[in-house]
Amino acid sequence: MSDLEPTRREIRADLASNPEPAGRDLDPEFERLLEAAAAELEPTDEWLEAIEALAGPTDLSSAVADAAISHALREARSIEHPDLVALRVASGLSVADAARRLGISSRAMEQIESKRPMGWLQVQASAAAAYLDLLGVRRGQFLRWLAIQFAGPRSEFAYGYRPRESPTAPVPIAAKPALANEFRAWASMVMSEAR
Amino acid sequence: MDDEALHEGIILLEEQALRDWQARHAPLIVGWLAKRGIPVSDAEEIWNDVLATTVKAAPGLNPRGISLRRYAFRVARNLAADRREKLNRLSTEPVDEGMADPRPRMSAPDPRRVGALRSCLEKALARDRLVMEMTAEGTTVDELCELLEIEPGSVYQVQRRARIRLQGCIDEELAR
Repeated sequence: MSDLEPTRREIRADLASNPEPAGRDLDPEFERLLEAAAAELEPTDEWLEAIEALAGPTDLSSAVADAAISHALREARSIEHPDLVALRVASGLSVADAARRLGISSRAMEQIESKRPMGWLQVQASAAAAYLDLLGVRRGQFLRWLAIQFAGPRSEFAYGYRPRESPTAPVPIAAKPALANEFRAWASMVMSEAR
Repeated sequence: MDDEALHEGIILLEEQALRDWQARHAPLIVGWLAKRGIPVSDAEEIWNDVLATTVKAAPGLNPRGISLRRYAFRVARNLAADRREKLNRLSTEPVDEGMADPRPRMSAPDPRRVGALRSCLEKALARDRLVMEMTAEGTTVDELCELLEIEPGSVYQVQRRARIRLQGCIDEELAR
């Protein structure tokens, strides 16, 4: 059923059976107050449905759509790196303490905190979620940062020295769909883990 | 893909999730802005900013799915208000400093009253809130007729009733 239907029914019932609220002068400043107050309200489901019902959909040209996606991705990739080491220390945890919480070795802990962030995929999702909560790191923010590390090169090709081959021709970088799927599944579990 | 899965995909910056989400929401938001008098080229620029801001905010928005949609519409509404204000601004020219400004001065509404009305709208009857928000949007009487499935004369009544209740609520809030 539409979110608007109960509202429509209430309006009809109010008009049919209730007297107008006690009469009073209308405040001449009300429109300006309303304009200022409405701008800061969180949209409700009814409002969203009303907007959708009234809007005549307008398709974006593919050029505008592509530009918007590139712009959004560029902006989103500029997020700050969560300083997991500083946050761990601030939480009073040693490397060994943190490793115990995550169920990994101290050496693995040092690696995922520095040069090998993709090692997080070896940590149980529930333990990772609890650890991030303990450090006060937003799970979504952390996963986005990890996704950026995972994304790697922005091109499907790379240049580099290859023995006995032409060094100037680009070579395709092999896709890693299995790893991408593993990351997606792990990230989804971390996000949906109860607090 | 459902809204929750799209939200997760956007957090992880999956391009396909961004494309799917854009395909679902851009036509509506651009169409809505165009209907509210924003030129389509401006509406497309606003969409560009809405998408970037929403994607950036996605990791911190809860609950997954609906919050992303609400956030995008809120950003669009505010950017559209800024754009409309710019479009409505009269052209200016330097004036002789000795001359008095002939335009009447309009002060900003009292922030206490704005805050009181905001709080009243948040706890108002859903129908009052919807009618007032749509009125603030600049929705016409004909559009409200169509939306609420009532006669034009009833639209004025519904608006008046909502307004009287909210004015009463503002007075109560300020008297606290």
